[in-house]
Amino acid sequence: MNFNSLRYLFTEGLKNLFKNIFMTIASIGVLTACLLVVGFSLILKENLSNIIKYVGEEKTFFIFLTDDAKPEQIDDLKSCINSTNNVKSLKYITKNQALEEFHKTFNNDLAMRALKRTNVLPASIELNMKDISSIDEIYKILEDTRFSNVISSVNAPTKHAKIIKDVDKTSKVIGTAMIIFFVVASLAIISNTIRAAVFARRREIAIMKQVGATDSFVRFPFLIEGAAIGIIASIFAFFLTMLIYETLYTMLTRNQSAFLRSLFITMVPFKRVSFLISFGYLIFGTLAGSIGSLISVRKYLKI
Amino acid sequence: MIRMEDVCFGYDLYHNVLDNINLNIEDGEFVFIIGKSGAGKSSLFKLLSHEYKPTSGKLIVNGQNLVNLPRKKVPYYRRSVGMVFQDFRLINKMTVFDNVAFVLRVTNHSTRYIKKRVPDVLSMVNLSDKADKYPGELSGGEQQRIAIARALASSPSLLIADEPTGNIDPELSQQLIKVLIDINKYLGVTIIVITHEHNLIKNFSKRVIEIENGTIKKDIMPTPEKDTLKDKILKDNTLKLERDVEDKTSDNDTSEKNITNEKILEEPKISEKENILENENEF
Repeated sequence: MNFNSLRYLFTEGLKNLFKNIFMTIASIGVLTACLLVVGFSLILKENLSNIIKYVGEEKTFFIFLTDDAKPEQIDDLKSCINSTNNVKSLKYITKNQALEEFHKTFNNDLAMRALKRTNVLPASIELNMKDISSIDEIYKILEDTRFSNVISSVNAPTKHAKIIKDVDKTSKVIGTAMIIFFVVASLAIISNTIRAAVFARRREIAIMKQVGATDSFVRFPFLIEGAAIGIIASIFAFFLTMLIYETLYTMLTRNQSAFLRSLFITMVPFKRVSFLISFGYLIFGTLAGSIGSLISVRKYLKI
Repeated sequence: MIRMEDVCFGYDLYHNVLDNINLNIEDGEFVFIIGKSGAGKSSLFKLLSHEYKPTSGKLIVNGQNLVNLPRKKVPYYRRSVGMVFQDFRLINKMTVFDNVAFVLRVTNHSTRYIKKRVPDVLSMVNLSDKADKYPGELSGGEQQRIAIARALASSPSLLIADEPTGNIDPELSQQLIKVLIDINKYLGVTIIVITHEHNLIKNFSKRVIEIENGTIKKDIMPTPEKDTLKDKILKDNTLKLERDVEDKTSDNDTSEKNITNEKILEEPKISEKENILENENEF
């Protein structure tokens, strides 16, 4: 195939987009929808792994103390913990400080009024460890019978460790399976839509073959057309994803409710996934469009 | 040249549509293949256009055995054979110019050549003024002439027309056959016209092969035609040119001989075109 033919076939492929405008719109629409589904699955997976990473990286112990704990006992506990040499920071939070913290976080006047009457929030020790691997050392101290009437409960990373690990594993499997499922489903839908477009032009293909066109000569414009549909759909899908996700992000992370804000604190901003999404859409869209076209044309080349 | 030796063909294993066909068509011949519906004419066309392969036997076209022609070579074979179909098979989204040019694009011809060649073949079928029209805007007869122009664009040595008059009225049918006869006469293209219209061929003294139930029933050779006044003038001009060339070549070297030989080949072409156009003007 010489340059003349390539140029002709390239322009023919692009011209066909307009000649079969309804099929083009249908194919772009279907491909955009499929890309959105795959894209949001990716974003969801990214957010899940971000949450897991955030929780998994937590090296903070919250040691809640009983109301009966005496200051000497608390000091004894603190010095024991400090002796492990695995302490980054250690902070004692009184019952009043806990109340203030609660007020700051939840800003709920009704709950505050009730809590001010009887402060049920316990005093606690916030311990930040240097290294989570030597967590057992801390645990030995906490389980010491000396402190059984000082410590009421412990919120420790190890308690979540297994759960986090399991959730991480499951989310990776589910996320990948979801993406594979949507990719396969999308390919099936796209190739069916393109097949319908090619079916409408089977007579044209037959004529081309009958006058001596080679298979590659017939395929090339369809390949260009499919790739162009893929590129257009990926551009549409990218901007739609950005619009939807940014709106959602702003709505959830800048919400009036502090509770909602705290829940979505780990939400990934669009900027962080924009490269993955744009690149993924472009590659997937172009491949789906062109491969879908090639598969659909193949059937009609057997003349 | 087409040679068929014991060609059998069937769409399934149990029933032969064509049975032991033996046939020879020489270069430059004009042949009508006739027969009733279901006789096997269209199947024969499908074998010649390589849509199907014979179940058994030998089918040789222009030196290529179509029975074992590799799939990769099929497009190149098809380029050497012009095909005209009953339903015209034009691409409706392309203009007349583009429909004809398409064959040349397939064969990697330059845009410059295409721009020169397409008007030439369109003028042969007297459709120069319709180049920018779309097939849907033309009559059945005009569409079939575009199909003929398309078939001629790549200068094939063989043109096969399957029921070319099937979608046009009897008067136009006669004129269309005249165009094909002129192409055969002046361009030397071997032409096979497949038709079921017995009345259509009565007015033309050409070889007629009749197919019945998948076998050749009759193969009638034409009676020698008397030259028309036009043919005589053309022949005289050609002879005159040949004599001039002989005179010149006796004096000049071989390279000059080649140039003048090309002229001989070119000169009749101009008159051929004029002849075709004269017939076409009646269209």
